[in-house]
Order: sequence, then C-alpha cells, then structure tokens
Amino acid sequence: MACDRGDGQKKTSTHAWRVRGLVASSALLLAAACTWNTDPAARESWGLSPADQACATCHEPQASELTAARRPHDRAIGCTSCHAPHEALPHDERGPSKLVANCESCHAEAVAEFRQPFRHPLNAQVACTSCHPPHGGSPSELREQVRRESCVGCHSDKRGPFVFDHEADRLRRCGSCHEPHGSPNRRLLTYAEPRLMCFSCHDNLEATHVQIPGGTFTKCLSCHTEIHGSNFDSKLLR
Amino acid sequence: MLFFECLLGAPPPDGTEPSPPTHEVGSVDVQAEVEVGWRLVSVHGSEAAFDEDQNLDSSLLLRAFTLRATPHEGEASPAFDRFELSGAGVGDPWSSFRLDTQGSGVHALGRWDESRFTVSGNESDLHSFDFDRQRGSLRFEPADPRGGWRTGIDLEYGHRDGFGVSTHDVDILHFVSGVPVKLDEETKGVHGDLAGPIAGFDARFDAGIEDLDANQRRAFTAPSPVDPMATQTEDFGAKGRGTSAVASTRWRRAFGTSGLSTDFGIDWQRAHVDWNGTDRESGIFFTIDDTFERLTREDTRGRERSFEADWGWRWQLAREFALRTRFTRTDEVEHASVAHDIFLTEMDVPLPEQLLHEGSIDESRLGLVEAGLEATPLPWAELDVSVEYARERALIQRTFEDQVLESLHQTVEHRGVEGSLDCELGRDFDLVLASGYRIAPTNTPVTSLNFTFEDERGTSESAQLRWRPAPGWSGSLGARHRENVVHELGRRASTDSATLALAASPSEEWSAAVSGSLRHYDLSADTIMIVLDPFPTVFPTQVDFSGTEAVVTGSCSYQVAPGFRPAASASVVTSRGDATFDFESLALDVPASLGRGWSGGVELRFWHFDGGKFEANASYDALAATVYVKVAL
Repeated sequence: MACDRGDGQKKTSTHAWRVRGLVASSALLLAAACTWNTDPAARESWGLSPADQACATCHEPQASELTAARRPHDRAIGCTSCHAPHEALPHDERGPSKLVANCESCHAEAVAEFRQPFRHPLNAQVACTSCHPPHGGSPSELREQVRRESCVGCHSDKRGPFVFDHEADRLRRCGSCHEPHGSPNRRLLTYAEPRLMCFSCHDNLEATHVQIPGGTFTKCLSCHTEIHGSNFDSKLLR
Repeated sequence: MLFFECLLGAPPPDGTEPSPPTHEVGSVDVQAEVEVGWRLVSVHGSEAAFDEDQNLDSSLLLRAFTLRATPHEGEASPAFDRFELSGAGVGDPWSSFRLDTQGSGVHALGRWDESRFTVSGNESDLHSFDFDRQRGSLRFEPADPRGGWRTGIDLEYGHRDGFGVSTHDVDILHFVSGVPVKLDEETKGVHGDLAGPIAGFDARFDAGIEDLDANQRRAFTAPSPVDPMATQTEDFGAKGRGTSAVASTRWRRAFGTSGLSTDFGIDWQRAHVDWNGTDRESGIFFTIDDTFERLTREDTRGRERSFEADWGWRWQLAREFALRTRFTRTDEVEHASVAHDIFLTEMDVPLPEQLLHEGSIDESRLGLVEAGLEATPLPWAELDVSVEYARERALIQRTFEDQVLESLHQTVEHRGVEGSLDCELGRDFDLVLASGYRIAPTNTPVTSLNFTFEDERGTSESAQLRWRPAPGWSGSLGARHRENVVHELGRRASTDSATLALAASPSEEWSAAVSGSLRHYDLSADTIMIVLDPFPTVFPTQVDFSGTEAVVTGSCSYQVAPGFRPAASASVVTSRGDATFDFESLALDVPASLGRGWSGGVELRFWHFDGGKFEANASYDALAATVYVKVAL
C-alpha cells in the first residue's frame, strides 16, 4: 500500500495536479456543451426512443432519471416496457399508469432470491421500489440510496448515530454481512456461522481470544453484543 | 389444471370480480372494501426460532380495507376533492395504513406502519430480543404544482421499544448471560424538498432535521461467574438525546442532441448524540471475600459530520460510444468521548474517586475519480469498462487518559477496475460476462500505536446467460466467483456460486418459476492458540471454514377462472460443511371469487427446519393455515 509519509509529498503533489487537470478539462467540456445547445425544445428528446419521448414531455422527472441511469433501465428498456399508456389515458392522477410488466417480469434471479428460505418480507410496507428507484438514477445516487439509506430507513435502530460505530465495509455497508433479498441462512446472513463474517475482517485476534473448538471466544457475539454500534463501549461490548 | 380442479372442485359460476358499489352519502360518493381472515399456527419444536424466521401468530386478521370518497359528480365538497384511507395486515406482525386526500389545493399523504419482530438466541449468538416499531409520516404538497416546480414537506415520527436478553462482562474472563435489557427510542423529524427547472437544469433541494430521544435500562441479580456462592448485581440506566440535520441538492441536465448529460450534487450531514448513564454494580473480584460495590457515572458524546460533493457527466459521442466521468469528494469526521466517574468500595473500604476519559477520533478525507466508457464494438456486443482511483487521508486515534493507545495517520489508495461485456447471442439470448479487481485498504486487526493499513485484493468474475424469448418468459443461468485476499494477514476468503432461474407465463392463465443455486464458500485466517500446559504459550494457527449450500425453489399458478387462481411455491435448502442444516418450506394459496362482490380463499404454509449439529436447539416443524373473505360493502 502506498504511503505518503516521507517521500510521499511528491506523489501527492503530482496526483493533485493530475486531478486538477481532469477537473479543468471536464469544466471546459461542460462549458462547451452548454454553449452548443441550450434550446429547451431539444431537451425534450432526452435521448429516449421516439415512443418514449411522448411520455417525457409531461413526465420530465422520470425521463431525467432514466437518462441519468446507465443500465439496465435506459433506452433499451423505455417507458412502454412497463407502462401501458394507451390503456390508462387519461392517466389516473393518483398513481402510475397501468403496468404491463413489473420487476419480476425480467429479474428472474431476484425472484429466485426472494424464494430463498429466509427472505426479506414483501408486503404493504416493503416493495421492490422501496429500495430501488424504478426509473433509475445516476450511479452515485443509486449507490447511496441503496447502500446507505434503504436498510436503515426501516431498521432505524441500526442507523444510529452511535457514539461508537461498527465500521463495516464502507461501500457494501449492511451488505457486508447480510443478503438483502434472501439467503439460505437465518437473519439473511451471508454465512450461516456468524463467526465467518467477523473473521472476514478480524482475523489476527488479541491473545485472549483463543479459537479452540467450543471455546468461549469462538462465539464472538456472546460478548460483542452491540454488533451494529454502541453508545457506551468502543469494543461494542454493551 | 386437472390437479387443481380435482382439489378444489368446479370453478365458481361467476368468477368476475366487480368493482365495489358506490353509495351516495349526502353529497359524497363512497366505496368500501374489506378483507378479514383467521390464521391458525401450529409449531412443534423451537417456537423461538419459528417466531424469528416466520414471525406469524394465530390471530384474527383484518387483512386489508379501503375506503374511498369523492364529491358527487357536479357537486363540490367543502372538505375534500378526494379521500382514500386504506390499511393492511391488522393482526399480523406488520400492519400498514395509508391516507391519501386532496382538498383546498393541498394534497396530503399519510402513512403509519407497525412492526413486531422477534430475534431468538441460537448456538452462536445467545441473545434473544423482541421489539415493536412504529413509523409514521405525513406529507403535504400542492395539489396543482405550477411552472414545473414540485415541493412538499414531511413530518416524520418513529418509535421503537425493545426488550431483550444480553450479556454483562464482569471482567475479561467472566460474564453473566441472561441479563434483561430494555431499550426504547423515539425520533421526530421534519423534512422538506423542492424541485424544479433552473437555467435548463432539473434541480432538487432537500433539507431536514431529526431529534432522537432514547432510554436504556439493564438490571439483574445472578450468581457470580467468579464464584457461584456469591452474587453479582447490576442496575444500569441511561438516557440519550441526539439531533441530526441533513441538507442536499442535486442538479441534472441533458444537453439535447449533443448527447451530453451531467449531474452534480452536494450532501451535508451533521449529527450529535449524548448519553448520560448511571451503573450500580456489586459482586466479587477474585475470591468470595473480595467484595465490591461500584457506582459509575458515564457520560458519552458522539459527534459526526460529513460532506460529499460529486460531479459526473456522460457524453454519447456516437451511437456506439459514450464516455463518463465522476469526481467525488467526501469528508467524514467522527469524534467520540466517554467520561467514567467511578466510586468503588472494595471489602467495605471506599477507594478514592476515579475519573477516567476515553477518546476516539475517526476522520477521512477521500477524493475519488471514476471513469468509464460504453462501447458497441459489434452490433451484438456492448462493452462497459470503468476504472476508479481514490486517495483517502485517514486519521484514527484512540486515547485513554490522554495517552494514545492506537493511532494511524496515513494516506491510503483505493484502486479498482471492472468491466462487462453484454453479448446478444441471438434474438432471445443475452450473455453478460463481468470481471472486477479491487485493491482497498484494511487495517491490521491487532491495532497499536502507529498501526498500518494493508492491501486487501478482491477479485470477482461472473457469467450470466439471460433468456427472454417472449414477454412473460425469462431465464437466467449464472456463475460467480469472488475472492478476497490479504497476504500480509494470511486471510483468504472465496465464494463460488452457480444459479439457474426460469420463469414462464405461457398464457394469461399459467405462470411458473423454478430456480436452483449451489454455493461453496471457503475461508481461512491466521489466528492464535494458547496452550496452558506447562506454561501459557501462544502458537500461531489457522482457522478454516468451508461448506456448500444448495437451494432449489419453485412456484406455479393457474387461473382456473377469472378471480380464481391457485398458486403453490416451495423451497428447499441443504447446507453441508461447517454449518450443517436443512430447511424446506411449502406454500399453497387458493383464492376464489365467490360472486356478488365476495371473494375469499385459503393459504397454507408448511416449514421444516432441521438445525442438525449446527443449531440443534432451533429445529422446528410448523404449519400455518389462513382462511379469508373479501367483500365490497
């Protein structure tokens, strides 16, 4: 792992100039694009198929989300892949037009995950769209919403703020230990044996934690009870 | 079809399900529907495990209800233009209510959710827990937004009340299990949003504030784990208050025919939480004569703030080629401190008051650059490649009485590359090959003064064949390999999985889905072993875990007549290796339209869980039967 102590100052400086160069280039590109085409009418195309452009003229926010998305809910799968606008005209103002397809129409693998013996309940409180914006969004938005907000939106007791957090994987968050759709293992855990999740990060243990079969210290959660975060103990003991 | 007809008899003569009749009540048209049921649950074996896994009780159920009201055509209502109240799951462990009403130019959306969960203790986690949770929100927004601007304000409420069994550490070697713990917390918040067009951009602004009020209580009297002839007691109570504030904005624009789109956003969060607790303990230290009484006052403070700004653009340079880039800057700061004020009396002798301080600092300043290209080198192949590079300035420090116990002040790098190739192998087949490689820092678990980060190398490869021959038909065959290695720490974890999933709706009447997956995991890590004879000696050793899990699921439904569509589903899992268990479940749903606005049905569920040696105390067999009737009033 690179470390910038000592001679690292030079690396940091070189890297900083590279980043500045990239930022400046991007700013120039953006400025050029702004001056090229600012015709509001042109925005109506949204890069969508002609059939879907009709939807976009009224449903700008959804069209904007679609164009911000990369894959898979982009131009290959447009509005009419899921919605049947003609059957629902004039639209019912209380909700989306009638759906001709839903998530499970395409995502057979997700359906299979929800058929796992231990699965997240889908009911009046929780649906696919509770966590996944159906029209997509920029990768950054989706990543943050799914990984940071979706789980703790309901499981508020895991959100904190805690005085002492359990630093799970920064990107995978709850997914460090849990399979959100379904799992063969109880509590939607990635592995049946909770110790495996602990050893995924904590392997060189303190000298007291002898891993002999049946030993006290082989049951990590017996002592580290506040595994999601503690307000009183930095070792998450209480 | 014959199976269901034999099982259920002839379909009802009138299978159509009419919309609920409309009743005139004064100047208002009213529609109402209600669905009630009764569920019987029978469990043999571990009821605690069943409660955690399935969360079902024997109960009368108000499965769903809807009440709609609108002013009679041509007449104006002074109270509302539209009113709808609906609910579901009353009597279930989770129930939900919705309110949707509009009047006087204001659209109001309300929701109230209640949940009840049970977590049972098991072989690897002794602690059981029950809690109830309520969440509610009320959103107001203009009924007729103008000029493309949308806005709304949300009032939010949350409450959680839990009672559990925990463990209390008396010292590093002794602990008391079965300690009852009470936790309750309440949150109240307000959140607003505004979105609309500004200078050709779609702009959105969000801001909110939330207040946390929480209490924790723990008390027990038990035989001392040091010597059961003595008694260990504890009475602990604490109160916590916290506030968090968030604000964010995101701007997005597509530049028409230029093929360029961009978005940028800023997220800011700030939170603090303070806890004040008092802990009264009594027991023995080493021998039965070495008694103690201890009063500890604990004040903890946590402060967090984060700021993230990102800017990305995507440029469709040609029909077959696009570039994208995103810059992200994240600053996160977490400070925590604990003050212990200890009054200890040992063998009836009061000792001097001790005031101890612990401190914890975690700071991260990360700059991330992501770049990618999307290309269609061949008419039937789409290539997507992305690279990311980040530098993170991390500061970690743990102090005790102003003495630094652990520290790290280092710049670390994250690097990653991933790519996917999406090939249309034919009109119906799609093959996606993906691969990724990532190097990310992970701290050495034995932390110390000036500890360091090590590289964790993660690789992933996957192949997925998708089959979509027609609407309603889909299939997926996939294989995936993941591996994470930290050479310096002797840690290696790998998972291999293969999944086959098929779903079909050959006609409006039939639908079926089947899936099978096989997963093998293997993890090894360096650790230590202590041999006590003749003297305590530490030996390096290795722990290994491995196993295989096989899962098969299936479901099908057939519409015998309109409104009469029986469905069945089943899943089987077999786990072998270091965690050996078996699980089977079967579900049968038989809904039927009874005519004249009535419908009903039966739902049957069966579960068999055999924990084997892995979770011997969690085995159970259970059956749940639900009968329900739905009627339009």
